[in-house]
Amino acid sequence: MARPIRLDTVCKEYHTAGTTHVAVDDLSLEIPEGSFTTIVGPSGCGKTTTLRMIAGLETPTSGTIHFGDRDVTEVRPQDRNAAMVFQSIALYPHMTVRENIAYGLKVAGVPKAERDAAVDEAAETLQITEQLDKMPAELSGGQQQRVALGSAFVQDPDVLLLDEPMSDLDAKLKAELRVEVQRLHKEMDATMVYVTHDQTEAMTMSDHVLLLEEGRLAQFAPPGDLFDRPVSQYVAEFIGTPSTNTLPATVEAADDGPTIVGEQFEIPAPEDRFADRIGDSVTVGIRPQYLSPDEGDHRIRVIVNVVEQLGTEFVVHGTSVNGAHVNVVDESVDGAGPDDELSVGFEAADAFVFDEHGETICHGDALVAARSASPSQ
Amino acid sequence: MSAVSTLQGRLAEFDEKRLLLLATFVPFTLFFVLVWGVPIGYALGMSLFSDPTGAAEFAAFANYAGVLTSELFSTALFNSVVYALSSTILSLVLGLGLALVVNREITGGNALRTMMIFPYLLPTLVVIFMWTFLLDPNVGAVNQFLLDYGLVQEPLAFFSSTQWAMPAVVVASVWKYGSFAFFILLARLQAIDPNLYERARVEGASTWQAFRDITVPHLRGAILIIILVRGIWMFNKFDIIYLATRGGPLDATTTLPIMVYELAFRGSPNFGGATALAGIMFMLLAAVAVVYFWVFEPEQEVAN
Repeated sequence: MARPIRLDTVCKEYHTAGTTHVAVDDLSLEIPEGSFTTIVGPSGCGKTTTLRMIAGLETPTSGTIHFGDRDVTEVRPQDRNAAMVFQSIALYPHMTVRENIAYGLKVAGVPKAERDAAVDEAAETLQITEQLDKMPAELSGGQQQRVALGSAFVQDPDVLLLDEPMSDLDAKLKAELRVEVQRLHKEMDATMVYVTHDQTEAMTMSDHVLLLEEGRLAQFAPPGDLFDRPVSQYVAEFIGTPSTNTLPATVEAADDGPTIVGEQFEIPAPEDRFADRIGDSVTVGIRPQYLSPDEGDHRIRVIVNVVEQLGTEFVVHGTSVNGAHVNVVDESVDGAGPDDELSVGFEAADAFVFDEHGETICHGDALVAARSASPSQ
Repeated sequence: MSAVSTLQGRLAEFDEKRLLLLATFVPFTLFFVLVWGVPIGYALGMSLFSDPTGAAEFAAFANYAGVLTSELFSTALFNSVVYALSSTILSLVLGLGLALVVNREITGGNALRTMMIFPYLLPTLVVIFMWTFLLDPNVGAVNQFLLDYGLVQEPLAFFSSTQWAMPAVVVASVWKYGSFAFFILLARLQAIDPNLYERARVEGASTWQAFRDITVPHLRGAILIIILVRGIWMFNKFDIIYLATRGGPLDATTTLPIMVYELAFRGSPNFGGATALAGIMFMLLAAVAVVYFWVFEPEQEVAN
């Protein structure tokens, strides 16, 4: 029975030699039941600690964790009906694959015949039937990962936790197992929480993404929202590859209202959010995918450093006139090469505007909606 | 041409690999033959003669028959087995217990680990001085403790009572040699992936089940080797027993090695009997070791 997971003002502190390290800071959120949620963030942002607290392997310093209506904050991991796949895979090296998968059922006292049936079913789903009598050391990395998934699968957990399970696999296997994990999620009645530092995995697999910044919640939303409506510059820069371009600008008063003025562009800004920001410096964020040499009302000039061809599209790594790093992704770049100057444009609708603390002031739709956009160049 | 070059290749290979092999193997073999093989052969040869150091006369297996039928042999064999088994098992249990404790990263674990090496480093003579002092009926701390808590009515003369001499020697031996098992087992414990325990906990395994299903299989090979090696060493142990009790009282702690010594150097020397008994011990241990390897396969390790 899948259950929602609710974290309420959860904090986790570690004390070492007189210093206090806050791994998770005041985290509150509700992961919907049966959903696939990914916790993502750079190293040391507290994502694994959060997962381990949900598993019960760590106890929060303060705050509570509920599975549905049940307060599990102090409940032992044994009694949570959760399953976990570890980064190190953690197969029991002295047990066969069959024994590994069945171990959770064995300690739960499930009779052997039932265990075998469950293992056979899981093995078939994960295509490891041939490997059942082998020892873990005889398997490839991908097969070991399937075994670990299988042992989580047969336990029929309420909550399935995966801690960077694919970080040691090559790109091809990753893509293969990504599909496998999503298929398992469909077959299982479990709330899945998946930790990764790879934002591509987060964006492609999940219903919800929890992005952490130094232990605090940066944004918890469906992947599309993280991409299109980031709540801060940190979110905008972390999600999406290459990273969102950030261009310094200032809010100035023009005849027809506040205007965001950058090195080479002027964007009319909505009165309600910018009227009291005249004179403030802001940052305009624009995704590389939304910069194009051919289109766009607002243009910037970029000195090209490197051009990478990725199949059908090109990635240009360049520098803007004021020295900011600018990336452009487009289907054609007019044959631009290193040291060429490239003029690229964007629509106000695709831009984000951040204040000096990195908080989002508004997204592109507000820039367009508030006033009829007029080309400013 | 190619045949020649192949041959040259082989010669070159012979030169490098074989030379290295010979350079390392030959000195060791010589050393082994001189220091081990010759004395063993000489001793086994002596066991076939009566009065081998004096008027040597070939006696075939008369020495063996004499030793085997002597009254003391069965007592000494029994004592040897009791001593070897109890001191090995107890030092294993003690070492395992302490290793499990230290492995939990408790406060003072490092200090305990360092302290564990000291009994092993102390000369046996010092260990025996210490234990005879501790267990002394008049001034010993142990008797004082037992009397204070009313556990005994009068002090026990541990090393000089037939009932307590063997337990006292075993305790002193376990105290000295327990750290051997401790260090080997601690090293094995620290090599176990901690995620295995975490996975087991999430899967619902109790602490006992995790110990049985993860710890024990990982320690199995080490435990079997400790039992074999420590068992052989304890079976052959002479110094600690002889220094504590001289095999007494009334042969209560006379093990086979002490009987060998008694035969060879006490009263009228009987080198034939002593070497025959040493040969018997050797064959007994060899037989046990072969069966042990065959039954338990201690070389089977958990593959990581």
